[in-house]
Amino acid sequence: MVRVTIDIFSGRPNPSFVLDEREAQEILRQLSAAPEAVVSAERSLGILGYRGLVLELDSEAAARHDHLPRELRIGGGVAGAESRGLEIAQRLVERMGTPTPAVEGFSGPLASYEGLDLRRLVREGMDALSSLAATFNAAPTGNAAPTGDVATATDDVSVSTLSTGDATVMAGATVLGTDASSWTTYTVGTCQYEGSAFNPNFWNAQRTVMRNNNCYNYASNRRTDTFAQPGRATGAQATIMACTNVGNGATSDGALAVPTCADATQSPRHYMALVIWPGTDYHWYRKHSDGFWGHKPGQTAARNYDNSNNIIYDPQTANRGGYTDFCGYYFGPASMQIR
Amino acid sequence: MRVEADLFSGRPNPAWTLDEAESATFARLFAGLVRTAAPPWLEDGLGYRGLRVTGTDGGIGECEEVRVLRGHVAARCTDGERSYLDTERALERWLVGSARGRVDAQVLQMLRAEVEV
Repeated sequence: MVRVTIDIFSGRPNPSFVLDEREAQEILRQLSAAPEAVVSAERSLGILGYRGLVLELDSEAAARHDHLPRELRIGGGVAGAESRGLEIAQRLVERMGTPTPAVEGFSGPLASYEGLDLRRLVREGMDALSSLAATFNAAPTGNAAPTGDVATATDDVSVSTLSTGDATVMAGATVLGTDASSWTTYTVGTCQYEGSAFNPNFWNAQRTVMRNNNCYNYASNRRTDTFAQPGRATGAQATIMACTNVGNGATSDGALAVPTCADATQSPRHYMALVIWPGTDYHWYRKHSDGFWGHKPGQTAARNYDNSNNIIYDPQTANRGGYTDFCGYYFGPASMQIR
Repeated sequence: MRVEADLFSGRPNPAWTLDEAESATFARLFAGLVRTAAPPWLEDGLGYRGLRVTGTDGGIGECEEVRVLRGHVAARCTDGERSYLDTERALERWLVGSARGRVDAQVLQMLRAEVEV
């Protein structure tokens, strides 16, 4: 048995329908032949509106197709071979019968989808999502992002949107916590910033927190569980891994490049450093009140030592592996938004 | 099965999916590894940190995650952490080979450079 849920609503339950055995086998055969069109169900662009189709396989279907995720998403704008996923998703929706709420036992007026042209809503959503995905995955050339599947964290689906002129861009993700409750104010140059005690346990104690937060989350001291990307919250995500591009993404999110100061109303103002693995990746550090710098390499544990196991007192001279370009320092003020 | 190259800090790591035949090959290679009493390695600084293999459903035999790096293999299994030796890095090289055509050329080149002795 395969249940298909149209992931489209925010407040009311999503509509879902069950495929008959023949349809289920046919769809799973097509997806097996196009694994790059499939991602695990939790991977979503996290936008309001249509976000793809989620297919749940029962144990029998899962056993026959053990290379597919038990709960998978297609046509959601995040897979490697998105056009194939959209094609299959479109066909499924065109052929669906009467949908029922995906939430078991849900009743009341919102349990019926009569009067709603779901097929049209999905078609429009697919068009909008294709454009949005194109923006996020903007034509990587030369030193841009890899193609194919990527290991992303679960997006925060409670994110709100804001409009800037004609373009709808995403707002910051919900901040689920920070690793400090008290700060000390320091001066660097003509600016002030706040430093807090090193608290790696906040990031490392739970596997899900460690896996879903990266160096940008750590440096800005915002746990969002979205594996935050500079500029993503404000529609300015960098696709070229160079100091200027990634730095611009961060400043678009509200970071201030030194020597621009943040005023005291923006406390805590985190002191951050940006480095680049040219054409490949970026990395951030944050200064602590203990006098050293902390960082979190990708999905691994937060720590205060470098690749030579030395405590980091100066990110410019620390062993940074391939992250050879030192870009500079930034302040992360309270109004900064990340996603 | 899904393979993730633990490589990046800011960007999401590159990852790819093994097809059915490749998954079976991986399971066979993994089953043939020599188990060791040595504790799992803990190398995880900036840069290449190995390859992580997870089952897309139900894990890999009794294990839910297998990590492979420079001749060492650490597996998180129902009976706890297990360590294995990856002689001549055969498993790691095979996994890097499976990335061909599934990650961009630059990443593939980096991974290949990492497994060259």
